[in-house]
Formats: sequence, C-alpha cells, structure tokens
Amino acid sequence: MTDQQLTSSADRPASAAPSEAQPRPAAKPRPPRQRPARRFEVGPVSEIPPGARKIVNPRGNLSIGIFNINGSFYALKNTCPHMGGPLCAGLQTGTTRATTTPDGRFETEWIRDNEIIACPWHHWEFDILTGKTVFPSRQRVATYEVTVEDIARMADARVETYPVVVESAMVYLELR
Amino acid sequence: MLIDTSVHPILADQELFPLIGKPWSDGRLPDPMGLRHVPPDPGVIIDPGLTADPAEFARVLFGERGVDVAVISPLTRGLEPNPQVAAAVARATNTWVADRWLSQIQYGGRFAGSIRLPVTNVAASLAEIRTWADDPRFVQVAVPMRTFVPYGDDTYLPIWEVVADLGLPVAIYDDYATGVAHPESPVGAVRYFAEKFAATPFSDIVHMATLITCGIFDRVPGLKVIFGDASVDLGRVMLWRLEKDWRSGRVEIPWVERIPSQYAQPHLRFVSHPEDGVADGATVSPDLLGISDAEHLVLFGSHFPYWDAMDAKTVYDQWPGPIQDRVLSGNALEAMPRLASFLKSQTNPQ
Amino acid sequence: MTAETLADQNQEVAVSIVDCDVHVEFQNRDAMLQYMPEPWRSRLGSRRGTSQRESYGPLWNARRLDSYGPSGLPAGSEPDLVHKQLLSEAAVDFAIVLRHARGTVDPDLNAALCRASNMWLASTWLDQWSAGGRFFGSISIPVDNVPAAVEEIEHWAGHPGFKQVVLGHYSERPLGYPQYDPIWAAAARHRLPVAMHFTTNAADSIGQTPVGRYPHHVDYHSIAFPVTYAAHLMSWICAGTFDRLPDFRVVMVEGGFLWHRPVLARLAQQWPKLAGEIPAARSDPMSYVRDHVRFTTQPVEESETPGQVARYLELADAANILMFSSDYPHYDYDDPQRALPPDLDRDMHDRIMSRNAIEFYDLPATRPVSELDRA
Repeated sequence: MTDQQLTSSADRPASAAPSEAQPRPAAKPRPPRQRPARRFEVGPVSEIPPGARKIVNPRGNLSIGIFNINGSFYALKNTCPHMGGPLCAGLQTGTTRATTTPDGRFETEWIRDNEIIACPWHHWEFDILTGKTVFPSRQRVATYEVTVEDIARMADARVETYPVVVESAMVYLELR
Repeated sequence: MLIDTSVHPILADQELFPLIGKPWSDGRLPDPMGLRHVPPDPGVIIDPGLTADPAEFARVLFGERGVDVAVISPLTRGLEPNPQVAAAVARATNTWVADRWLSQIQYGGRFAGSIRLPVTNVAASLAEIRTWADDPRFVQVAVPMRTFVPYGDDTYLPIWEVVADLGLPVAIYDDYATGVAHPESPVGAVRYFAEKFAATPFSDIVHMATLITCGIFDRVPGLKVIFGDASVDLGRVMLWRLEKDWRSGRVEIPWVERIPSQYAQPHLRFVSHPEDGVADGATVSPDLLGISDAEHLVLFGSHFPYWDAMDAKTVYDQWPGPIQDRVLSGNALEAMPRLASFLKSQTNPQ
Repeated sequence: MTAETLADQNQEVAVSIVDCDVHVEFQNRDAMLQYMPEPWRSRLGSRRGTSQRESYGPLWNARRLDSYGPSGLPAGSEPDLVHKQLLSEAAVDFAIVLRHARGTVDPDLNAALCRASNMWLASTWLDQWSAGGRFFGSISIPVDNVPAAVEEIEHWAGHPGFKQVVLGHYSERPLGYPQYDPIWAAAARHRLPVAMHFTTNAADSIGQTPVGRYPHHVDYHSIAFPVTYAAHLMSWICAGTFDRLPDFRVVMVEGGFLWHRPVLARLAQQWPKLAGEIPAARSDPMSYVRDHVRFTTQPVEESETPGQVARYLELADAANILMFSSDYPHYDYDDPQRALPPDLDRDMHDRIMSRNAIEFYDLPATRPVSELDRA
C-alpha cells in the first residue's frame, strides 16, 4: 500500500468537501520565486480540505503527514517514536478527558475531535498540533513548519478575490 | 528496629462463636484453614500449637525473632454472602483483637491491630471503622483478598475515602477459608494446593490494576494499599504490562493521568516474600534494587504463624544497611503513620 | 550485495528473524464455508459468526490500520500485502502462523471449524502463498472436544508445513486436569509443540478472575493473559504432565514473559513442602520451564528505562526460553527492529530473534534469497 492510497482512503470525512465556489480553470501556476532550498511543495490547498491529510515523501525514506485542522496546516513525521510505525496513516480522532460527577464518579468527555492521530500500531495518541503524546512520556514526534502561499497572487497581482486565492494556494513544507 | 507487619493469629470456632452472638452462632462458618485444598501435610500450614495464644506469639516474635512490634491481622472465614453474618464476624474479630491482644499490657503493648472490614457490606464496613478508629492501637484496616468485585470498583470508594482520612492503610490478605469465592483460577478450580499457592499473588495483581485503572488513587490521594500475598517483583513486571496497555488504551480511562508505575511509590506496598527479587533460598539478592523499587515498596512481614514465614535476620543480609532498615521498619512506619505514636506510648507505658 | 545478484547465484541467507506469532484470515465468510461440510455449511449460512468475542475489545481497531489493502479485505488475508509488510518491510525470514478457529458453544461445530481452518491453511499459506516455504502453520484444535482434537493432530501430523498445535487460553478447567491428557499425548507422540494463544470462545467465562471481572479493556488485556497462562502452566507442572510426557512441549504466545519468574520462584521456594501431594517428580520446578516451555515476546514488556527490562530479561533466562513474535497484523504489533531493549546483550538478542526458534521448531538456519528481500 502506498502512502497516497492511504490518504485517499475512507477516513477522510465527507464534510471536507472543497469550497462551494466553482473552480476556476486556472492557468498552471508558476513556481514562486526565491524558493528556499529545503522547501517541499505538498500540493494545492484544495487537495487537503479541513479534516483531511496527505502523506508525502520529500526525500529518501523521509515520510511526512500534512494535516488540515480547521483551516490550519500541521506536519508530523510519519514515523512513530515508539516502534517506528507509520503514525500518520493511523486513526485521526479526538480523545477523552475525565470529568467528575457531584457524587464522585468519573465520566469521560470526548474532546478535540480530529486533532489527535492514533498510531496504527499500538494506538499511541499524538497531538497533531504539537507532536506531543497525549499521555505523559519522554517521546514526541518531529513536527515541521507548513506554509501556505497564494501562487495566483504572486503570478498575477490583479487576481485577488477570495475563491481564487483558495483555489490557487499551495501548501509547502519548510524542512529544516 | 524490626516491625513485623504480617502476623495472623487464628480465631478458632470456640472463641469466635460466643462473640458472634445469636442467631449466627447457631450456624456454621467455613473452616479457618479452608477445606477445598487440603495441604499435603497438616503441619505445612501452621504449627498447631501456635494458633492463637498471645503468650506464645510474644515468646516467638519478641523473644526468639527480635521483633519490636507485630501488626496482627487475623484471617477470617472468607467471603461471606450474607451481609449480616459478614458484619458479625468482623465485629467479633475486632473485639477479640482489642480485648485479647491489644489490651494485654504484659506483652509491653507491642501488638498493634488491624480493623477487619466485612467488605461485602459497605455500610457495616463504615460502622466498623467508626467503632474502632479512635483506638490508636489499630494502625491499618484489613480486607480479604477474595472478593466478588475487584477493589477498584466504585462500590468500595466510601471505605477508601474514610480510611485515607484517618491515616489507615488498607492491607489485603488471603483468607485460607474459601467460602463462596470465585474459583482460584480464571479457568476454574485448581487441583492441588501447590497450584492455589502459586496462583494466589495474581489476585492481588487484579486488585492493583483495577485500583489504578478505576482512578481510585486519583480520587483518594491519601490511600495506601498493602498487598499481603504478592511479591514486589511480580508487582513491578505487571505494572509494566499495565502501563503498556495504558499507553495504547488510555482513552478508555482518561482519569489515569500518570504512568501506572508512578502510582507505586505514593500508593502501593508489598509485604515481603522469599521470592522478592532473586532468592537463592536463604537470602534475597540485591540485584533488582533500583528496578523493583523494593527499597521503598516492601514492608517486612513474616506471615507468622503460617508455613511460609520468613526470617528477617538473614533474608536481606546482602542488602545495604540503610535499605535493610527501610524494609524492616522504615517503610512500615511511613505506610502506617499511627505506628509512630504507638511506639512512643510503648516506650513510656501508662 | 543486492538481493537481485544473490538470487541470481541461488544463494542462501542466514535466518535472523523468526516471527512466532503471525495471524492470517479468510478473505470472507464464503471462503471459510467452502471448507465446511454439511450440515454446518447450510446452517451457518450468511451469519457472520457464532463465536465472536463480544466484550473487552479495544476501542479502536484491533488490527493495524495500515494492514488493510485498498480492497478493504480483512487484515492478514491478502498474500501480496502480507508478504510486503512482513517479509520485505519487517524482514522476517520465517513466520509461524497461528490461526485458531474460535469456538462456539457446540463442540462438534468447533471440530468442523478447526478442520476447515487447517485445510484452508494447508492449501494457502503453507502452499501457494508460502513465498517459498517461509510460512509454517499451527494445527487448530477444539479443546472442548478431546477426541476431535486428537483426531485433528493425527490428521495433520505428517504435514511438513505444520510445526505445532494451537489452542486458546480458556478451558473449563486448567489444562493439567486428566481429561485433557490425550491431547498432550498425541502432540508429544508427533513431537509437535502446543502453542497457547489467547482466544475467546463463545462458551468462555471471559474476563473472569478469582476476585471478579475486569472493568476495562486496559486491565483485561494487560492482566488476564498472564493470570490464565500461569494457571495452565502450574497445572501442567503440578499434575506431572511433563514428567509423563517427556516430548510434550508448550509455547506460551502473547501471554507475557517476565511474570513467570516470580511465579515459579514462589513455587520453587516452597516446593519441598508442597511436592508431597503432587505427581510432579522433579526437585526443581523451574527446570520444567527450561526443558518444556517457551515464551514469545509480544507484547514485549516496556519501561520508561529500557535497561530495567533488559535486566529482568536476563534474570528470567530469556536467552534460552524466549522467542521473538510480532503479532502481525494486530494493532499491538511489535516491530523486529525495535521490540527488544536496545542495550540487550547481543548474543541474547540473536537467540531471542531467531536461534531459539530455529532450535525449538527445528527450522533451517538459512533460506534462499528471495525477490521479496529488500535490496
């Protein structure tokens, strides 16, 4: 199974449909100028709607998952620090928090839906926003900076309407 | 100083029944030695001359063995399904301990007691605590290892809250009497006494695991539980297993916010066993100190007068002196805060 | 040298990873029903199962999410994907496959389910999907149907692909009780080890303990297996099963390892006083484990300080009685590159990863180079 197949599997929520605006038959955007040497082009924003993710291989064996959480992008190394499992191919989910009833019983509350990635091996939960395990541990997964740039704006300064910006924005990984 | 935390006088029918009162004293109770698994040799279990005579206990423990304080906790008659009978047996046992053991000044006030709780009856357990807790000679509560529901269950929470407030740790000991308990193994009754003996520690492990996973220690931060029948060594490796599954499945039990192993120092204690660490028969090797954390978690207890009693004088010979001191007395003083004042009153009788 | 050039020369590579716990599955229910005789085939019809575990499952998928192919077939059911993940990516040389047919409440149906599972295994993973003989099988038997269990062992005993017998960890009584003896005698007669792998059958008292039931998956999954495996191990030892059957060997799979030393130590401490009642004849109960019992690693014990586990492994004689297992494709899969503590003695590491299993199962120490090998 390839990483690409994983990202297109059924765990992408239905609500993550592209914006209602008609896609503009855009000319092929030119790459941005002065692109940093360690920058990797992930793909257009429209390919990773909120709630979705994409796994890429910027170089060699390095595999990275890029997640769109409510319009913000986050990137985690696709290798679980525990046993090396393909973390970003795991279940994207929420987690639980304990609440206490007035009579002293514990109950669980579901929180942070879609902001947690559970490794497909062993279900270790990681916070997609920080790369930290949800439980106390010494381990965390490497995170990477993600930038979004409006190529259309760079390519053609006259086009500035909102749907056009969304349709033509590109997601980049800034590799250290 | 030597504190023996595991001493178990046997309350025989002839002393127990008059204390239970009518109508229960007209009936029968399970045999104190258990009849399901007959030991290979009657002498194996206990020296018949040493069942319940304070003078004999004093002679052996304080005289021969150099014990300074013995914390006594009579085993009772196993799990009792009738809540009234359970309450009556516990009340009778505690009355007997107070009158026959703790009040006998000729033994120098060196017997400390345990409040026996009828755990199948939570209301009666709370009443028993209320009755005896003001007596500073009771330094812990004692509960049976066999239960219908493990000790992590919320049923027991009111008991744990009260005893933690009173500074009383909870000691869990296996009654030899079998009563109506579940079979000794998850796959039914075992055939031989030896199997029952070997499997016993796992019941403590189930209690340990559920106390953690049910969040009892998170809600009762002052609670300390003393496992009478599991070695610290088994406790350690089973905690590792538990914490591995906790990392995978903690979403089910989010109140467990600490790594399960970290509940050990504040909350878990293990009575000493010859199989702690690596034993060559006569002594326990110091090899695992620092890993099992026996230096903080083990309380010396001889299990006297039962057959698996161990001798404090030699068994920890290879351990560094300060660690020996912790196991032989320091850890007990820490786990049973009432022992300190008890000791003061002992040095100044009356 | 690359795999390609080695393959050209018909070369052999040393076996360095033997995985003693791999699970495979039918692709669908029809595939299973093909192997079922009437009346069971008609009676079972399209009902999904009469033997599924109904409690204590993990909240999230019990299989590795990355072990499902694009087709969505069950994990462990597609040979290409299993070959890729297990033989290429994890670099496993030999895999011992355990597919235990879960039991129903009907012992006759259980016998038919075991036979179907074994027939299927023989014609698939031990034949057309074996990647050149890299998969070995386990004969699934119904422990609640002793005559059928014996018959199943006899039926498959000469088959070169089956290396052992497999059963679940639940039974009506601990397995040293005499009613089970014919099973152990049959296995010993054919020098087939008996692997215990935790399985829950419809009739089992799931989650039962001597002090009540586990409230959560976490406590069930971490505590139940050692407790139950220990009951069976003590039962076999005390009943003298190993004394009576010198060729009877046991593999305790996925039930933990480190617990056995404190439990055996407890028994050994008091053995002189206890042994009078029991048929076991040896003076040291620990020796039964060394001579008759092996454990597998997964789920390997872990600590915040891996060196602590390494020390415990040494003391528990891991160098002689522990064998690597991954539990592929289950979610709690342990990867062969990362499963053992990094500071483990090198020789012990190699013995656990392959040599103990090679000796125990009498496997070849080398295998031909394969195109599945990573360059």
